[in-house]
Amino acid sequence: MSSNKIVLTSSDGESFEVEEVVARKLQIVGHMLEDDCVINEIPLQNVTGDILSMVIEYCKTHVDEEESEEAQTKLKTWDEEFMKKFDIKTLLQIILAANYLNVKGLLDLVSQTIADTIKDYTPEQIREVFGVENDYTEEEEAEVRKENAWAFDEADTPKP
Amino acid sequence: MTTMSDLAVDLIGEILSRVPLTSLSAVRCTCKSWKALSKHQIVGKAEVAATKQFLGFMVVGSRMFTLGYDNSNRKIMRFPYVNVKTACPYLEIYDFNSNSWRVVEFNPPWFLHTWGVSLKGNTYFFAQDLLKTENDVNVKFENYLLCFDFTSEKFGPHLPLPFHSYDNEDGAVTLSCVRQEQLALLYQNSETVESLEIWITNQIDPNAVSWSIFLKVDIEPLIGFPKNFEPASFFIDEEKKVAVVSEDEYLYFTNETCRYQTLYIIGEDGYFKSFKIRCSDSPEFSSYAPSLVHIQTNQQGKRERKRKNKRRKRQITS
Repeated sequence: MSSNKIVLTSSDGESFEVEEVVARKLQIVGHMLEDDCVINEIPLQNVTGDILSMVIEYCKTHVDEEESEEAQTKLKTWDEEFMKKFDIKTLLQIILAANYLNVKGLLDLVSQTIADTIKDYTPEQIREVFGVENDYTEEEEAEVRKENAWAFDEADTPKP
Repeated sequence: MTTMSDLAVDLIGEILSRVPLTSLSAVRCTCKSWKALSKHQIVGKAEVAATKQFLGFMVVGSRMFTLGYDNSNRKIMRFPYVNVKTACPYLEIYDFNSNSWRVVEFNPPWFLHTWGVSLKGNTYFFAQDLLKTENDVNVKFENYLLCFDFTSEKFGPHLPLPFHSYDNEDGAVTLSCVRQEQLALLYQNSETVESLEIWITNQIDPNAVSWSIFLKVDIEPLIGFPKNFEPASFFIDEEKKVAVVSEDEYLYFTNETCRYQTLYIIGEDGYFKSFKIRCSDSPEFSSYAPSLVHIQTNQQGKRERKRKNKRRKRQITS
């Protein structure tokens, strides 16, 4: 593969010059390059510069995905550290970008990170952190809680 | 600010499908769409990681369905109804490709424990035949394992259990499985009720099986373990070398809608713990088979029947 440089431009006008192999990790770019091979500047409408820079950082690190166990472990550690940098709001922006730019590995990574966050939360905390509106009536919520009661903590279990 | 509601439904689904089953109740209580998504996502994720994530989950409420598949197709077996007119026992198979139920007749053993365990696309049952004796005084039983092969849609040959006995071992044998790889068998010897044995398979397919012992627990010294224990359901944790067992039909009734079931954790060197869970019906542990099928929830079985009989055991006499 040639070491062509491609310029990716974000919605807020920030430009990033990256190697073609890195740019191709964004499948949306890959498809454009296949359709027309003379592009060297690509505008990306739905992603801001600060988020695009994170996506590029991920793609640069994952550009050679070696199969060796050692390399895999190293990448996994890097992924974990990389995810620790972001708050929920940023993670949601990254997942939107990863989806739009079609970066499968990053999409999986962020999905898993968000899921891991959810698992430790109560419904109230989930709503607050993720900005989800509670559309249950009181009765409905009580019903859902009852249906799933077996999975709740045993703390509220009375002694027989 | 970006919130979860800015994400497309399939993205939210992707995230929720990665939330461990034990945390799904919180997800479901969050809002209506999350509840709907989590129900859709719970079965059908073909992630290998998910298989490791869970050793077992519980089905609360009795049912008589088992899941299976052949090379190209997912199937559900409903089992068994006795056709009154022909007196010929049959089972029904739901085929996801044809989206319909079809009837398969079969030659039943003398006794078939209808709570089968699904493993690698097939379902295994505990079965018994009555052995003919000369004077009919000493009744002898052949106890064995029977596999329903979802590819041929037939029962396979009799498979040996890890112990040998001519006694009536109905109720003493309970099946479970270890991930989607091995079958596990809990056996309570009728003569030495003080011990529970758990066996796991080294190798298993519809035509052959071999066993090794996983755990043998002397239950007599365990304080708080019920006398005359009747196992109903169990699962094992290989790494911690423990088993979680529940007792048959043993529920604490506190009021109409809320009941409690005691579960027991037993392990090596007298390890023992018990705890209570709240449930609406007697729980069954099942293997979590994430890659099995993607259930279409808008399809209602036309011949769905309400079954009031809570006993999971059903005797078919031919």
